Amino acid sequence: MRVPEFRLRAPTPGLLTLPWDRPLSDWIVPEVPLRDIAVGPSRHLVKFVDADDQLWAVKDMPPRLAIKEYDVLRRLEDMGLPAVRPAGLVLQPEFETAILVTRYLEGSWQYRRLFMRLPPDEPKHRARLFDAMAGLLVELHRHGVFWGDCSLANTLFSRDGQSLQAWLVDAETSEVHPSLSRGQRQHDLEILVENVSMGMLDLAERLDSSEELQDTLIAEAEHIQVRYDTLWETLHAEPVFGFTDRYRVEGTIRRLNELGFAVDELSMQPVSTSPDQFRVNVAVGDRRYHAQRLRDLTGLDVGEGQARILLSDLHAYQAQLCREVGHDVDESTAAQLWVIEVLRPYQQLAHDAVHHAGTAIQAYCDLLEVRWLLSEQAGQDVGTNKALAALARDVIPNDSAAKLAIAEVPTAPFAVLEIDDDP
Amino acid sequence: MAAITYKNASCIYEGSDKLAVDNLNLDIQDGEFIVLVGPSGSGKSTALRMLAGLEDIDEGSIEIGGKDMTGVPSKDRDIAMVFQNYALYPNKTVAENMGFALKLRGVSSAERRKKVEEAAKVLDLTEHLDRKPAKLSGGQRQRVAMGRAIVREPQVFCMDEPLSNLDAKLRVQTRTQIAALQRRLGTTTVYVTHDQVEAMTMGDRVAVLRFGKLQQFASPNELYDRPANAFVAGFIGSPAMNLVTLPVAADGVKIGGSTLELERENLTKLNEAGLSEVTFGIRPEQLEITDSGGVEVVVDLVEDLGSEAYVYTHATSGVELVARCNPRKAPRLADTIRLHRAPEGVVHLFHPQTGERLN
Repeated sequence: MRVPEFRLRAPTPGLLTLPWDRPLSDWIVPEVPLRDIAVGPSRHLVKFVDADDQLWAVKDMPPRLAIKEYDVLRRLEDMGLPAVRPAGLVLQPEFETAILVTRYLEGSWQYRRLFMRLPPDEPKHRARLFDAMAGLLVELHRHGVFWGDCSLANTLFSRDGQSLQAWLVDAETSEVHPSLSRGQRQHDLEILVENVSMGMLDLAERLDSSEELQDTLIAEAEHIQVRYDTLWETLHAEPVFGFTDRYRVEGTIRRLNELGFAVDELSMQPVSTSPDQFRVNVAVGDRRYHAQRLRDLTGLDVGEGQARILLSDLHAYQAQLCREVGHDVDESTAAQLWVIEVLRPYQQLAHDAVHHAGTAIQAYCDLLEVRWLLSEQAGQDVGTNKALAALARDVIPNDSAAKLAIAEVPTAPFAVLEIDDDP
Repeated sequence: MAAITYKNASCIYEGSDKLAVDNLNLDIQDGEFIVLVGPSGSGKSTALRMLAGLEDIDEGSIEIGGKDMTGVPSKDRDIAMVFQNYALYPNKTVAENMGFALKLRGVSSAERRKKVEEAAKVLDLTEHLDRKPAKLSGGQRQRVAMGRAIVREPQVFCMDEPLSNLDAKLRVQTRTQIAALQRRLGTTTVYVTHDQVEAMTMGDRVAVLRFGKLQQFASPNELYDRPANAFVAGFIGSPAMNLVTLPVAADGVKIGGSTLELERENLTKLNEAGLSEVTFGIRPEQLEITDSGGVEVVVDLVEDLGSEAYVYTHATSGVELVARCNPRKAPRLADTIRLHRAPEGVVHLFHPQTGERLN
């Protein structure tokens, strides 16, 4: 017998004691603590294991492919890209196969789980999903990553303020290049549009949606191309300004900041054909502009979408504080007070209101959204208590991002497999 | 369907001073199945991606059906990349999965059904058309994925290591199906692999690449029987051709104290080249175990494959030779045996510096 060869990045006791000397197809309950997580048709056998109070995805693959995917996932992790994190690679020479181990992304869902529990036919929720897919593809592409099999089934989603964050979970066909050609990006985008359209229609079928909805879904999925192009163009635009108009650079930077991108380097080069003009090139860093700002002010580590909402709330609080004390209060002082007087107590109340589903920070973001939406409906500020009550009773607008919290309500999460019926 | 021409086509990667594909010239006929093969970094995938519009053509051009593709977006080239896009949808039938790309392109429902049925017939999926993908075997799912490309009826199929994600058994099975399918459809196909067995068993012609340069573009038989250089000679064939650099003697080449005799015409070629050494090549099946004469060697390993056996040996001079023999008469480990060239055995002579074929 040839013993397995291990590369484990999380060598926890529970993982180490799994039956690595047996093919994955032979892993059965009760010997192996498998969990029942529905996945779509896959070209490889995938199982989910509960070890050391964590969920791990284990995938049986030909060794060459497993090594390639493991390496790609390591590189995506090094680049800080939103992708499933590789936890190990086990080569099984005895069976001429390999098992790729990835950490199951906590607080994330497949699009099916998300949409099957939402009110039907809400374009705003779909728009959040498509924005997330376009955003993920742009992030991958600007780091030279060609996905190759972009689909909703190969993606997981998590909540981030009023938006969704998409995570790549299958890198079998992915490649990392120094940069991508326009043709590679376009090809990836075409695959994405086709697969997302099909994924949405597949879901509509399951939800018994009307025939008419199909054309809408296809049109919306095709519109991902526009979402992608808009974001890509914004990030790669090289505007030309006259020297006396250089104040306009600030507008360019602000637009990038609003999208969440911090400026890494700004370069201004004279245009060779007209020396009184210059071309602006902005290299952007991670999409964590607001998250970093909030972290600097408060020490809080939250998602970019959450940070955007929280900073707005902080600034509203700062303005109110200035009015109350009758003089300017600097942002840093306001931030400290805001955390103590507003965020801590109300995030707890909000989290209680949603029965501790998801994180307390997200619950507070939902509370702010609900208060704003209800106030808009009422034509006046309804106040926090009314918003809390609405959140607790789930009487909130169907198209609000807060409705996505339904996906976080643990109904029957990942039951233990009783009968192993994998082929 | 269309002919494809690479005309001095080159591609250079950003930040690199070497050409990923260097001055490639290929004339691919309408309906041909061409395999691009080579080791990692040979430029085979880049050459395919230049055709598909995924890599820029920095110099030269590529024509499909006589039209220059420089600057033409991928989607307007009428090509299909097979297998990369694998996603199948559980709630849609096989027919719906196959026909979806056509629906996106605005093809009518009746026309879609017709094209799907035709493709299903070719792929042997007719009886599964109304089933859901979950009911299919791994091989059938592969064929559905292929069907998604076929229904579009492209001019060219591009396949970049399509079988690399399959287990060994399914790989051999699908390999045969793809080759048979391509012959039935008659669609010009360019297929990339690092596996020379795959290349030799599937392609009408095979282009061997190394460091971005074309080494040889020929039929599998031609590649095997008359490799253009020592690289191709060593790359094509399993086990590989015996390739050793040996001193040239008056009547042949010397292996230690023994001489392996060469025909007059080969000797003339060596004389004309004025070489004192030559890279000598002989395939394992053209070496025989003999009782007398030949070269004395010691057996290091015997690989018994049932129908044949390969004997891995070394001579006292350090030269290593592999010979094929009858497994029932195979020598044992550490035996001293003698090897000679089979009566009709072909030898291959290559320039020891340039590697170019001499005979």
